[in-house]
Amino acid sequence: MTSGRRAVRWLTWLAPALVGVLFLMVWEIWVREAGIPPYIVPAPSRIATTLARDWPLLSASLLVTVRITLVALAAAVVIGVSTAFLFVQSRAIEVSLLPYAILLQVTPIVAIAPLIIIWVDDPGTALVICATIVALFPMISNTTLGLRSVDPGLLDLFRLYGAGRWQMLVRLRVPSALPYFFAGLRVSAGLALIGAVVAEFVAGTGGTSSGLAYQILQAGLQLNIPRMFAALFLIAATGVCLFAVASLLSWLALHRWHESAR
Amino acid sequence: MNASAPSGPDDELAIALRDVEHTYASGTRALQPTTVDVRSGEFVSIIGPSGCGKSTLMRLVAGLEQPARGRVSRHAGLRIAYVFQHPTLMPWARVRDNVRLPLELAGRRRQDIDRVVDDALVQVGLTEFSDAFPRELSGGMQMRVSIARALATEPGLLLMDEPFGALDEITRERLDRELLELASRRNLTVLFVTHSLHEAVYLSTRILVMSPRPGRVTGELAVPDALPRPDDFRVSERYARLCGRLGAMLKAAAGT
Ligand SMILES: Nc1ncnc2c1ncn2[C@@H]1O[C@H](COP(=O)(O)OP(=O)(O)O)[C@@H](O)[C@H]1O
Ligand SMILES: [Mg+2]
Repeated sequence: MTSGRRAVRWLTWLAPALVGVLFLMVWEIWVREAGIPPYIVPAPSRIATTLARDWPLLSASLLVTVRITLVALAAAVVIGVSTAFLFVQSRAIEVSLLPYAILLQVTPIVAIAPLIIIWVDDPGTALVICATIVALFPMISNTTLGLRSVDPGLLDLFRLYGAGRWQMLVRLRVPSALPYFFAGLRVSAGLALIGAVVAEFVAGTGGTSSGLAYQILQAGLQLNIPRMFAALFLIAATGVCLFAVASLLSWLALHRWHESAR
Repeated sequence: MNASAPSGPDDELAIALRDVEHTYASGTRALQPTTVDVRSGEFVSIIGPSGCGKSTLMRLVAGLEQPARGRVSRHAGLRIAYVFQHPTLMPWARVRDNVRLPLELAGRRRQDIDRVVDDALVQVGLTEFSDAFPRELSGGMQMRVSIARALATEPGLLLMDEPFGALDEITRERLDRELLELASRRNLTVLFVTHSLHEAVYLSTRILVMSPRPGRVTGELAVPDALPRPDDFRVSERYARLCGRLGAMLKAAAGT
């Protein structure tokens, strides 16, 4: 790697970090100088101290939300990939099921969540189901597209050398699908978190769960605005971490051979 | 499949196409009735304008396409290898693993595969790059990997469809020379598609000329000079004369 490239790489970290610091500074100064009360807009320093003070409470909620998100994401990956395999095995299956997958995708989760929460006794399970529904579609559509996006030349090659259906799937379709799968994973990771938080907002009024969305609701009722911001910050940070981990996995799997991961 | 073993006096035939026609599902008529024989040890080139059905003919020979009419016969147990116009390598697999693929699909024993693959990589001069990924190689090197993959199957017939068409002139000439040397060293039987008449004359023992779409074979030119040919063959008067003759045949084919 040239030093120029390395400089560019540093800049891609440094520039956004600088913007962030600048933003926080302006925020802090504005709140102090204009005398904005913390129950309207708290200063960043205030949010930080709240985060530290309320950490026992917030970290427990964070754990709940992260667990729901990860279980839902795992379920979305397993169900999505299996469905995609089914779809490429048979056009008939795809044609019969795809409209329902799309239906699930376009129906807002806030509209379905109350039903699921009523039907499923265990609130944790209900939330996982909601988050899975939100995260599922990119896994299905991307993996299906990937499994179908095989270089026709390679398909000829495999046929010429007598590859069976199974060998074609494992040695040709699956590797061809990996870039698409990982692109889907990055989207689904974020969606799983959104699904977990949104569903908890719907469920949370019952006070049955204690994820971050519940903390935001409670803090809102108590006009504890700094805690709301602290919880919000944790949700955003979780989303960024999920995206980073998904990107890292993608990079590990693809960087040796795929253009997207140079 | 229409394959059957030619027997009797045709015993040394690698493949025989009899009045083979092809029309694609889209309705495109790609090939008029065509008869082609390739004997063991021959280096046969097919030359013709683009779209005349050369690739279709190759795909029929390989069994990737079934003829609409006519018969394609292959020598019993004939192993066919195919080098496409593009290197067609698996981008996720290292050079070595790309070359191994046909042997693994054929269920060959592991020790066999290692030996044969090493040998094929030596033949194309890529031993040092056996652990590289395709995208780390130049176009010419990728094409060599593709050739190594074909050689590793120890084919009774090697199909090559404009294999060097996408490469620059210098690389192309070098690969032509290497291929010719390889063909005579391993006594390969080759069916080679090109649209360069210079390449055809330099490489082949026999050249088939095709008419424009829908194509058929309209002429044949033998190049009896022994393989491998010396470097100065390409600047000899005889070579120029053969190229001239082939050019005239192509022009005549285009007129029909
Ligand atoms: N898979 C296909 N489906 C429909 N038409 C095709 C297909 N492949 C080739 N053709 C058509 O058949 C004709 C002959 O094609 P091809 O054999 O590739 O010619 P060449 O290799 O000589 O350039 C062309 O007109 C081409 O457009
Ligand atoms: Mg062609």
